[in-house]
Amino acid sequence: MRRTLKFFSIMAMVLTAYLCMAADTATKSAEPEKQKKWWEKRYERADIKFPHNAHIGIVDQEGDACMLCHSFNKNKVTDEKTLKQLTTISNEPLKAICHDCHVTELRGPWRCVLCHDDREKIWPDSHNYNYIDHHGEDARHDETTCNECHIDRSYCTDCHMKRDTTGEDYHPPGYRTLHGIEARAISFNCARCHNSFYCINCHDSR
Amino acid sequence: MHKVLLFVMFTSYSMINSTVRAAKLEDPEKPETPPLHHVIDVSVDEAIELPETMPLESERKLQCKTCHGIEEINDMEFEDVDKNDPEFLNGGPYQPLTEFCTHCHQEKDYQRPNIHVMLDNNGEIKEDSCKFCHEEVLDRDKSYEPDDIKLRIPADRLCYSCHLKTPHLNSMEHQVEPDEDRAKLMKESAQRHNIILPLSRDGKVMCVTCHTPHQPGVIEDHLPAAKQVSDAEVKDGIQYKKDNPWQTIIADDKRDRLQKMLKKSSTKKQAVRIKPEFNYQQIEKEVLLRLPAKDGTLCLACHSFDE
Repeated sequence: MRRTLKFFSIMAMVLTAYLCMAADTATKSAEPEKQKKWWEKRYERADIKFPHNAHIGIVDQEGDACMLCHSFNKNKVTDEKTLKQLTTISNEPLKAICHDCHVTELRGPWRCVLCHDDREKIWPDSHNYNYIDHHGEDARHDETTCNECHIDRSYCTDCHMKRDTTGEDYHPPGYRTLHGIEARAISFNCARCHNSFYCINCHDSR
Repeated sequence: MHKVLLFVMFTSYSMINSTVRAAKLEDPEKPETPPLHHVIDVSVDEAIELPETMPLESERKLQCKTCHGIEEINDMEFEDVDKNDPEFLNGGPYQPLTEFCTHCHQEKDYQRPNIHVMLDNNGEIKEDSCKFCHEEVLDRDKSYEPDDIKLRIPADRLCYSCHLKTPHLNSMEHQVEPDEDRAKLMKESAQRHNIILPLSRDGKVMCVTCHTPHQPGVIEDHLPAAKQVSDAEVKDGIQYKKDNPWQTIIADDKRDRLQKMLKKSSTKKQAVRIKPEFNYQQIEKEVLLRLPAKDGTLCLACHSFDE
């Protein structure tokens, strides 16, 4: 009898412990995961890097301070939801301020990857679809738009001004003799680099 | 929030008594108004021009529909009225709520004195100013332990008696408990600058962590609590440089972002009335701050960066 009681009391304890654990798990899963505030997440952001210490000197020299980017403007909005949105806007990085030194005046390092971790995040939608084959039209139409990001002209000249066209990167040795075969078969490939004048210069010369 | 609303309602109540001819309810069947409600059934002075959205009854009498756009609001139970309904206040919603009051009342007539101006022309303390926050006027020649300084309301809530909880952008985001590293940095900064950076009862940053409420000269100069920036007059407050080249650029950029926010916002009508000041305010002269903010010294007392 005593053994039976002992058995049931142990079972009761085990069952109670199990139920407590189950209830605790259920409570935890029912609790919504606490959303991090924007300032708690800022260290997770890798899309824009701003080395504060590197800027303290220039900011001091210019007579500006932290509040150039982090607004402490007077506020009358009391609605928490609206204020949260306004605060987010007030703290968003301002392209014009960064680019004034780093792009327009080139007073600071200007390589995009110094601040932007992934060029695909900042390039325009047009660049998403085989743009290397179609960029010429835009470049001829408005070169200044290209220059907003491609500050270094070597970005163009590395391809367009390259003179070792006899090298294997472009055409194999003796290609001048054989080029007609490819030109007839896949003329589209030639047109990637050459326009019709390139052909006419030789083939139509009298 | 409730306190602000109550204050606004109370202020409005006081305002109307001074500018509108009160009239007794002639009809006992008139709707019963909730406590601290603005008086109704009174004639509004001819000098007060109300917007078209606020219609008056005959004899320029103020009625429910003058202020409220909700249909048959006078037949509804007080608890059933949706205060967040855009039609709750005609022409609303209002941010801040006092914008509604100023349709009829002049804001300048109801401004309170600046209690931070604590010294008179002879440099003597104006005791009335002290008593706004302190239970008793302290002796300037004596030193006190923090516990001996009896405030009417705990320091972390005291400022809200007159100021909004969020009087400037990013203020609420600062009112958090510093982590271990930041607390250590704050302690070091306080020692280095010989200032105090007090925290609230629950260890959070509060208004007086950065701001000092006392005019220069009120506390003995050698005490850390007295140290502050004071190149502007307390009565004038912080002065900003005019015509900074970034002002327009920042204002334009933020305006665009605000418009995008409004397009997505569910509270579009409310947001339309928001007039945030997003200009870059470059500080020229500052006051009532424990360290200069115009060169970032104040910010760097708590913030540090790896690179």
